[in-house]
Amino acid sequence: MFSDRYRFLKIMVSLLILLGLGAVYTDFALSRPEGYRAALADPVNHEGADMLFPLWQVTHIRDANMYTIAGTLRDVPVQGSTEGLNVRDTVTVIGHFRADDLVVVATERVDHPLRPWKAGFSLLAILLGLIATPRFFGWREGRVVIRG
Amino acid sequence: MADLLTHGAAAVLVKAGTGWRYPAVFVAGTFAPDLASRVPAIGFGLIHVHWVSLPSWLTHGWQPLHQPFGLLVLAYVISMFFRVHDRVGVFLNLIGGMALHMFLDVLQDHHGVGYLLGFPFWEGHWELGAVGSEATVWVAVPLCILAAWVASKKQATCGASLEDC
Repeated sequence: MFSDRYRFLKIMVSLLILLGLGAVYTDFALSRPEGYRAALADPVNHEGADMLFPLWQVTHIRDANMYTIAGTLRDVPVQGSTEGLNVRDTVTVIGHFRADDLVVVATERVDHPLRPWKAGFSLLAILLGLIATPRFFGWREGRVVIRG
Repeated sequence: MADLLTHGAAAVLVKAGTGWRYPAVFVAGTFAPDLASRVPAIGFGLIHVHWVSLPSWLTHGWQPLHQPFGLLVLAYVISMFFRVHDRVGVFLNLIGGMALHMFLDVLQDHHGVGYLLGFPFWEGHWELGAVGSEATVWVAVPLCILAAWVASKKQATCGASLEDC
């Protein structure tokens, strides 16, 4: 399994499996019967359906009681208080779908003010990892070698 | 996901407590789920949301690289780029790092949206929900300082040796 025999073929098959997994997951995510995407496709039958948008970004604040969020979908309209909210904030919105105007009526909003810190720490870790990589890994005769 | 500083620091500490063979590979394994899945998904997601509409597979298709089965395959692919006599050790350490990553992630609470741990064989999702999704921000820096100190001690003891010490 880990030998050099058919190495190229084994890598290619594994990459094909990963591509297939990506395709299967995309289909799974898009064809789920719940969620805003499904509600848009069939609004009447989703009237009052529960909606959950974890860690979505605020893209526009229309007025004191209406804003839009984006994640895997763009500009989902949300009815709910915009107090303390700014564009680009990350929020979790819990609510239900209203078929009349395709709006999500928020029953709960969770703000995530520490999200920029979390992203910053992750970027810093990636940067440190990139700097450290040559210290721990090298390349010789077409293979990765471990230096320590 | 917890932040990557916390993931990396936790990997160093766990590795220090369980032997010091292939520590960099173990840490790389901890980084791999987010690097392979979240980074491209967030990057393409930002393009999709703010600039131009992208095909769904570009924003969704990376998700299996943050799930156990996809990570297993990814670890195998990565290990095949190493020298033959390192491959099993690399594979196992990558898997170990990835498992630690998933363990820290499932501790979090995303208000009912858990992780698809069995995809594509089981489509249910699960998470422990014990801590908030940004809870690690407060421990990241102290944990990093501790991990750096432990790593320097270990490296001083073990040098470039790949043997347990």
